[in-house]
Amino acid sequence: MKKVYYRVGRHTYSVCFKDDKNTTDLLPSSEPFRLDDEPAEREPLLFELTVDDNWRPAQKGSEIGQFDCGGNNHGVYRLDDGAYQIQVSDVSDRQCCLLEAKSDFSSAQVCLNGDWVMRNFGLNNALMMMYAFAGADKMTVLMHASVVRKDGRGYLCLGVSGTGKSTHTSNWLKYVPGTDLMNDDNPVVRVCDDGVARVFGSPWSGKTPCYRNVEAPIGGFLQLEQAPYNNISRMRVVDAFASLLPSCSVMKWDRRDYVGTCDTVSRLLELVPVFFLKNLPDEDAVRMSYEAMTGKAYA
Amino acid sequence: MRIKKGFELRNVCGENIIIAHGLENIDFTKVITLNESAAFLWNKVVDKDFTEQEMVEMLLAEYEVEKQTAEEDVKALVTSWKETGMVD
Repeated sequence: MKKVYYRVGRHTYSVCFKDDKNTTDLLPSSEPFRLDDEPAEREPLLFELTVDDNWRPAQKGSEIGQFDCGGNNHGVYRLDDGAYQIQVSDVSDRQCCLLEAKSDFSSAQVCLNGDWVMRNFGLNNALMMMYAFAGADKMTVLMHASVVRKDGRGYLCLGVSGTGKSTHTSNWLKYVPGTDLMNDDNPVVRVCDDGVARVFGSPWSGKTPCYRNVEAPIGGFLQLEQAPYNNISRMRVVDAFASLLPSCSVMKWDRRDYVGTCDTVSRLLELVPVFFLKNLPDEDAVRMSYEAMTGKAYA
Repeated sequence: MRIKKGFELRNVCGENIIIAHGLENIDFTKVITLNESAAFLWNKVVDKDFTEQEMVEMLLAEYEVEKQTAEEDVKALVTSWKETGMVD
């Protein structure tokens, strides 16, 4: 048995590998976030996850629904006491992971199935869900976004898959000197206890491997839409709310999770401007978003 | 009539925004805003059965408004609440 601690988005969580088959080798993208020692500070853990292939649920929950999460299926079930059971399948519909979590996602058990690729996929998905759903009432969200950093501030590009988030951030890297990519798919966004909205790199980054233990105060959100021209405008509160909320990982049927996420988005809107960029994949679009979000002239 | 389960009025940066949670509202993707008097009525009637007549009386008690105007406004409001599926 081995218990390890990770620190992501200034939250600490533990993963306990109970059987000999599963180790930290399953989580290479989490390595930059692993703590060397047991955390000394008396901060409560965000969650505790136990990995045990020999564990089986005592009972089967009733079905909430089957959800397509970018090609792979999550079957969600609920027990009478509010606990969740979530079956994670891969794109080939093979079962990779079964998760049973307390209703507030403060602790959970998983058993994994299949080869290394399936286990890696299943466990990473379990960790993402635990992180997003445990953080929901702690001013913390996992956002679907591509994030760049410039002069110590993070800028998040939002939009449904295929709108050119990664294209726009890669154009920032290309045209704006001193820019780096913080995360390309699933950064942590949090309003910290000091009242500052920050973005953090995470162990989850989609197709681009970018698992960096970095953080920055948020300079702006940018909702992207493809167009045959470039135009940028500041979004009204209501439109910005409607833009940010669907970018967060959230369970709409769970009041604690959904209301917590709405409150976090609401607080973010008080702290950070949101812009809407209709754009071509070119340098002029970068100039527009750079000048709007940084307030500086594009050199 | 009654406001359906799962619909909640929340304050987002000074705006009155209705959010919808719950399995029954999983396909409800609209973001609805209410002005001050509509939010006032929402808070008065949420979680109870109510009629248009009662809403008119609430408006008249709170705002300086002609009865006919209040009736027309309530009718329009209830129609839009019904159209968006927030009330049954």
